[in-house]
Amino acid sequence: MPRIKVEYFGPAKKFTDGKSGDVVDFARDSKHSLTLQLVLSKLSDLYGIKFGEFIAESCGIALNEEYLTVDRGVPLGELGSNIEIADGDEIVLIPPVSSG
Amino acid sequence: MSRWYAKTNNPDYKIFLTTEKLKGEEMIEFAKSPEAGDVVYFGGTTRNSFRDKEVVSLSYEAHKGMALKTLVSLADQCMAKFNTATDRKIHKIAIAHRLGRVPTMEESVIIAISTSHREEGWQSSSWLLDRIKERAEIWKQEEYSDGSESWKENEGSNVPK
Repeated sequence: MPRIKVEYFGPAKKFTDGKSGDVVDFARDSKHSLTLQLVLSKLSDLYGIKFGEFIAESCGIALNEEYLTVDRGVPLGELGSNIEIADGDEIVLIPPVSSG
Repeated sequence: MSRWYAKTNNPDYKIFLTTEKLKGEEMIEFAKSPEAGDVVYFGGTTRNSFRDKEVVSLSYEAHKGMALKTLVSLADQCMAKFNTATDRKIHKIAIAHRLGRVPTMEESVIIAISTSHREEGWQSSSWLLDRIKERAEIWKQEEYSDGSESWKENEGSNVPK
């Protein structure tokens, strides 16, 4: 069962009721790879579609601390469909930043 | 542990995150260099107001690993931008950002850069601060006197998408 860690920071926590992360297990599917799309879909299930919209519109998405280039021009439900995620990967959602 | 240092072997950098009060003199003393003619210092402090609300403190959080990597990368870019192969204008860079609660009048971020001449000192420190505010993976929440809170977004925030 692939297990993914997701972390939330700053304004993203408005949608997660202050929660700063989740460990998400996915059912093993030998036919299909786990994709970013499935992970984001799970987050929308957990915290609402508005969270999914916020991620799509406003957040950088990092996989194991490296930013992904994600095509934002697709329908929300298809975001990240071509990005494979592996067991043990860590995803960080990076909302607009505010240092200083 | 209340300080997290960036992973870098560059002896001209002092870059860290901390929950302790920031110390300007420490950063300035680090930045001083025999080849430099000045140290330009910036200390960002918590302002007591946002529009018509009274701010009592700011509270900061970060993805420490990504933020420290970003700060090193920005220091590298600053060096590359202002130095040439034959003319070293920027000598040392010190960056510290505080995490957790920062009351009004206290520093949340300090930059100290030593330069050969003051012109590149003003330019490089302004450039570096602007880049930090656009990219560092750090977020602040304003806490108001009425008990409410609000996550902020920097105007020029520009994370890779």
